[in-house]
Formats: sequence, C-alpha cells, structure tokens
Amino acid sequence: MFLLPDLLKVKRLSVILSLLCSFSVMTGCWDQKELNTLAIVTASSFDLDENNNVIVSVQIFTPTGMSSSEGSGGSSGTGGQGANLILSGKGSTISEAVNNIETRVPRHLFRGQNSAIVFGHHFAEKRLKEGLDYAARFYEIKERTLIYVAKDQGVDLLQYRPNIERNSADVMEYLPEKDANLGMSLKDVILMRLGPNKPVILPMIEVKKIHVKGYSEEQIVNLGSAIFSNDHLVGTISRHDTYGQRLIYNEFGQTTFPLHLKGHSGQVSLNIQNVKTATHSTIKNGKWIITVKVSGKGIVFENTTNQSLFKVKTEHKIEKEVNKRLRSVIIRSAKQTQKLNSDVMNFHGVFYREHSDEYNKVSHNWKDIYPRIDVKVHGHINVYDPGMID
Amino acid sequence: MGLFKKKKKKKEQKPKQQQQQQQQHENVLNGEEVNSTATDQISQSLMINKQRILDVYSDCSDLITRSFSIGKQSKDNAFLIYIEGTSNSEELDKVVFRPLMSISEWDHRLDKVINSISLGQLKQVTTYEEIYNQLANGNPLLILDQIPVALSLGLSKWVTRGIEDPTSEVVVRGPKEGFVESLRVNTSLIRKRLRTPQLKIKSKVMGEYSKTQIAIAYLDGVCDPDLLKEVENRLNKIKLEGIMESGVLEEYLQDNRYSPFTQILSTERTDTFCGNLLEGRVGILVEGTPFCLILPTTFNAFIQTAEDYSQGFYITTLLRVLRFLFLGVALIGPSFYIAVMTFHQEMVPTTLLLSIAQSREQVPFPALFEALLMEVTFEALREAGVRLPKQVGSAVSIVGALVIGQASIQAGLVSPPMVIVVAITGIASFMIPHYNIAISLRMLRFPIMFISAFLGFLGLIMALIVIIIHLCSLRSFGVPYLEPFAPFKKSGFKDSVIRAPAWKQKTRPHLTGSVWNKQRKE
Repeated sequence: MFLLPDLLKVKRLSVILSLLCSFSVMTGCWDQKELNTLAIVTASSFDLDENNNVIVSVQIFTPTGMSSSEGSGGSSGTGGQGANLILSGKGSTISEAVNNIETRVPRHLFRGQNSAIVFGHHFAEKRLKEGLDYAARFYEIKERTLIYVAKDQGVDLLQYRPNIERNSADVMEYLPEKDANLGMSLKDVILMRLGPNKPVILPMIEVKKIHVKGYSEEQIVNLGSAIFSNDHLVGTISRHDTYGQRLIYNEFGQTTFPLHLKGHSGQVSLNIQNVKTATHSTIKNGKWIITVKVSGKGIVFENTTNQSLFKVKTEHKIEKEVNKRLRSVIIRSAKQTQKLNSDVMNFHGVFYREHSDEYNKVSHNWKDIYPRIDVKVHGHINVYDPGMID
Repeated sequence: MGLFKKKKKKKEQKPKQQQQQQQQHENVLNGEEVNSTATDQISQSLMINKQRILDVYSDCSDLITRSFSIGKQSKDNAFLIYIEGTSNSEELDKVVFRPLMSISEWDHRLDKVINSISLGQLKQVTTYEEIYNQLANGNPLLILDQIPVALSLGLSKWVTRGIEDPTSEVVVRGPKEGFVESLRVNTSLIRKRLRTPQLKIKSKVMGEYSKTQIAIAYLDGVCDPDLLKEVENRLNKIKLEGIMESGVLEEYLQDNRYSPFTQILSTERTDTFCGNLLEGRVGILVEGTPFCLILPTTFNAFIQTAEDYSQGFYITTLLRVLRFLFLGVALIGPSFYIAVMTFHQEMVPTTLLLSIAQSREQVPFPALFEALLMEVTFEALREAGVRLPKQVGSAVSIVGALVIGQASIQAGLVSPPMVIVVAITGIASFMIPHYNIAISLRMLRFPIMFISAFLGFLGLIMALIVIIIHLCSLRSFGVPYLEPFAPFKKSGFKDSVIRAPAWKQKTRPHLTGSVWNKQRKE
C-alpha cells in the first residue's frame, strides 16, 4: 500500500505481480494442511508381536460431522457412538509401521495433538530406546506428550472407552494430576535418561474391571512404576512406593494417609498437601548420605479415634505419626530403586551439585555407589487444619 | 539497486521546484489576489460599473439588482446588487433603502451615505475583484454614482442547519454540540469554548471556482510558530478547483500521502477540537463541512474519544486497553484463525480443536476461502447499511444477520467458529472510535489474510512487522506517528493507552517545532 508510488510504475508492477502469482502456484513451497485433511491422533501405542515386529496403533478422532443445529450441545457421545477409531500397522521399525497405517488412511496422520504414548510391556522391555528416539525425533510429537507403560498390550488402553471423558487419551492426560500419581512427559524422560546408567521411571497403567456390587466398570488404573536401567526394564515398584520418588523429586501432589495413633483405636485420615522437599547430600568417612527434608501442610479429613483434635498434644501425636510414615515411604522406595540399581531418585544430581569433585571421581562406577547411599529423612509436616468439629 | 538510484535523483530535483513554487505562493499571499482583469479599480461612472458587473454576472438568475436614486433626483444615482438567498432582504430594506431614500438632498458625498446607513459591518471596496468576493459572501453591494468606491453591506444571511448532535462521534457523557456546515457558526462555537484573545482564527480562501473559506485556528503562545508556518506553507501549495469537504485537504496535507493510515484527525466535535488546540495543535475549518482537521495527529489520537476525559481515569484506562486489544483483533482476527487452522493445529487445545474439526467437517472450502467469503459478505453488508436510507437499513441488517449467521452455516458454506471470528472482528472494528483508522485496518486485514494463508504465523508476523515499521516511519507534520510509544515519551505516555488523572497531566505533548510550551497553566 505504502509502496504504491513504486508500484505504480508499470514495469515494477508487472514484476511484483508475476512474483505474487508464482508464489501462489508454487504449492510445493507451503506446508499448508487444512483441518479437513487431517486425521487427528489423540494417543498412540507401540507394541511388539511374536516375531519382534513393531505394531503401532493410533487413536484417531473421527469427526462425525454433525449438523450445526445439534452442534451446540457439544459432544455428548459416550463411548458407544464410535467417535474414536483405532488403527494399527505393522513394520520392522516404528516409522515403517506408521507408514503402513498412513497408506491406508486418506488423511494425514496429525500427531500434534497426541497427548499420550503407551509402550506395550514387551516393547518397553526390548525397544525402549527406539520408542523414545522416534518420539523425540518426529517433529509433530510434542515434548509434553506423556509416556506410559502398559501392563500388557498398549492397544488395550487405546481401545478403552471411558464413560466421562471423550476418549482414553483424555483420561491418560489427566491421570498425573490425580493424587500423587507419577506422570512422565517425553521431556522428563529424556532428561532423566541423561543420568548414569540411563535411569528411567515410567508409570505403568492397565485397564481393569472394577466390580461394584452387581455391575462392573472398566477403568484405567495406575499400577505403579516400571523402572529401567540402560534401556532395559529392570523391575517394577508399586504405586505406593512411587510416592518416595515423587517426594524426592519435589513433585508430590497430595494424598491422604490413614494414621494409627499409638495406644488408641481408630484412625486419623490426614491429607497432606503443599509438600516441599529439600534434598541435600553429605559425604562422611566415605559414607554417602542423602538428607531429605519434607515440609508441608496436613489437613484432617476424618477422625475415628476418640481423641480431641483441638488438643495440641493430639496434633503433635498426629504429626509424629505422619512424619514417621513419610520417612518409611521415602526410605522404602529408595531401597527399592537401590535394589534395582537405577538412580531414578536423582541422587547423582544432588551429589553433583554439592560434591562435584567427589562425584566426578566415581561417576563412571555409580553402579557400585548408588546401592550403598544412606537416606535420612526429616519430616516437618504440620497439622494445619484440625477441622471444625470435635 | 538501480531503483534506489533513480529515486535519489528525483528527490534532489524536487526541492528546487518546490522552493520556486513556494516563493510564488508567498508572493501571491503578500501581493493579495493577482488577477489580470478583475483587479481593476472601480470606475467613477455608475453606468460603466453597472455594465461591467452585469456582464460578469450574465446568465445568473439569482442576482438581484436594483437601481434607485438618492436625494430625490430624477436620474438613478445608486445601484444595489446582491445574490438572492444569501442576504437578509428585510434588514436591507429597513437599514439601507428607507434611510437612503429619505435623504432629501445629496451632493455625491460618500460620508453622508455612510452615516445614514445604520449598519455595523460596512466595508469600502475599491476593486472589482473585491466586489465579486463580497457578493459571493452574501454581502449586498451599494455602488454610487461619481464615487469610485463600492459599499459592502454586512447583511449576509446564509441558510444553515441547526447545531445538532455530532453523529459520527457519539458520547454518553459530554457536550452534544457538533460543528455545522457554516464556517462562521463553527468559529463562534470555538470562540464560545475558548474566550481568550489568544485564540487566533486566520482566514483564507481556497479553490479556483469554489472560493471556499478556510480558517486556521490556533492558540497563540501555545501553538508552535514553526508548525503554523508549515501548515500555511502546505495550504498555499494546494491548488484546487473546488473544496467540497475537508477530506480533500487532508489528502493533500499529509506527510505520506500513500499511507493507508491517515495522519490527520478529523472531528465534528467542538470539545475535541478545542481540547486539541489547548494541546498546541492547529485546527483547520472548512466552509461547508462540519468535519474539521486537527494536526499534527499521532496514532494515539485515533483510539481516544472525547468522553475519555469526562469519565474516571480508571474506566478510561480500562476502555483504552480494551480498544487497543480489539484494534489488534480487527487487524489480525481472521488471519490468526486461518494461520492456526491451516498451519498450527497443535497450538489449539485438543478439546477445542476436536470440536472445530467436527464443525468444519461439512465445509467444502479451505479456511482462507471460508474467511474471505464471510469477510467480504460482511463488508458488503456494512457498506450497504451505511449507504441505504435509515428505513431500509434495518431490513439489510436483518437479512445480513440471517445470511451470515444462520443460513450460511446450515447450508454448509461456513463453520460456526468462522462466524464467531468474523463477528468478533466486526465488533472490534466498530470499537475503534475514529472511522478513518477503522477503514485502514479493515483494508489491511485482507492482504494479511492472504499472507497468513500462504505462510502461517510466519507470514502473519512478517505482515505485522512491515506494518509496524511503516507506522514507525510515518510522521504527521514532523511528529512521529507512534509517539509516545516509539519514540517512548514518559510524559506523553500519561495520556495514551492509560490515562493518568487530570492533575497528573501537567505537560503538553511534545509536537513539532523548536518552541515547546511544556507546562500547562494552572
């Protein structure tokens, strides 16, 4: 517009016009993709079959193209309507398998909205590295994509139709936000894998039938965590034992502990939130020690003892109990990972931070040091809210 | 490179020509109007004068002439002419004819006639040129025998519209007094608000045929003399046959005439006009239009309304931020949607993308075409609504709402999200207080839509960068267009996107020129 004085000259005008025209003709130059030409992948899974071939499955959202008049209601489809489509492809590598799917779908498999990738158990055991490599390398897959390990086959989780959410991808996306569940994004995994002996911890999930008097309901359940070392599955720990990892990583959400008070029947259910942990290291007489300080708020949700919570003495008792509980949780999960010899607790990071000289000397044989690290826990959870009634 | 060289050469040549022209114009100003035939002195003889005037005004049916005699002589020795409808004929009868006719004896002395006419505005005119001017301004002229002087009687009375609400700039709180088509009424309205003798209103006639009266209003001592000189300079350079509206002047006066952004504010509000004079700006009033020009103007002025100063500063700040926000929406709303829908689908929250995908499934067009379809329809509807008479206008809006709202979705032409985007963009462009700048943004929207359809956000940002660079390069009478943002001026910032309370605004904005009367008087 403001180039008009220049544009007005016929010669230049013709040059610019021909340039503009050629831009629009050179369709190869633009990577435009209309929404109508995309198959939006919401979740995908990698599995292995008996012949060691990779089976990639994708969960595709199928827009039903409902007319505008009913469009205002939003998607009310609950499972049965078939708003999701699961497609699988086989190949010797992941990309071959994906290509196999793509040849059968008229649309481009768009994985920019892929919120979760599930590794089948066999796949995770043998090909974890390839899976991570593909996910990190492929430009459409986001770093925020959550990585899961299935107890059995990854496809099962894609095929699961939840009752509340639109698809299982949504369920998997929100799973880490509940309780103190472990949630590992692609970025988290890649960063953790940089540690000595490539420690990786991934949440393990399964579709489980839960029976509630007379009828059963399928649900996605977090079973615990799969622990890897040097890209091999070395073992699993329970969900409860994962709390320790979350605490030391300072990413503990919130959870409720039922506590027995000494010498009293009944229990006090304490919800702990706003948990902050500080991890420090000391090396004393050749002993490598990790000190974990846990502080946070405790709120009493339920009280079935006969104790009055308005007494400071009782509160102290509860605090003592909960700190004892946290100590056991952390030490237990540290012990477990030490047994599996995979430093998913990031102890190496703490030592590197605070005793870098000593750490650098032994970093190449961290395998021998790690199982012998002592863990000390100081709990400082305070009962913040005893409730309104006595 | 060749292109640039050529440009430079031309630039070098230009100033010389301009200087010459400028000098010529100044000569014209100093030596008053130069016209070979019309500058002749009025003759002694009434007959010659009469004949000459009637020759000039031949075939003018609205010219009224009346010959009569003063001092009860047999021969007509006086001649009165005026243009019908421009003079107050009743008054003429009362203050001119009756007293003159009652003179018993007259010895061709001018002072006797002057003394008998009971009129405040009386001007002696000696050239034909002036006679024509006075006639054109509605003043009746009295020509007397044996006297080489014509008397211009200040009895002009033009039909004017009453003072009404300014329709293009409506406010909830504030004066409902707008300029009208008459220049003199307008100057009186300004005088009413600024009663200081420092308010100067310089007059000027422009237009070869229209002879349009133009007034340059400014506050002496507040307005920079250099600015005033520049304004007069530029006005002198303009040669036009007729000036029907101030918009023509606006086009000529701008620093960058090819820019889509107007660099001169036009207003029909008296309070806006006077407020700007107080800030040291110059106003130009044009006979025959209620729209007056204010210069220099920065981009900032286009998102401000007169009401901003009568409302609380919290509310004003909030509203201005909102306006700024929607200014952006009006410019890039559809382009953003196109870029996201064709290039960056990963940016949209999954749930939203899925529902958009669902609603777009039946639409056969690419996003660009869909957006163009809607935007063009919307622009057409708006244009139709503006041009149509009020009674039909509502029908258009009903049809339009049906067409772009419901029917097009049900017909599967466009998707509901697109309608939302177009509607929000439409509302956003209505939110900009000044129509001029809203039009510019509406226009720029389309090329940006194309670029973002080809290049995504890359293109969108490129287009924005080009626009911002252009805005930065613009000047309005030497004042950077984006002041106080670029260059950043702390004192000016107090009255930009935010409005500081009135007592915090002690300084006038920095405009062009060497004299900056910085402090406001308390």
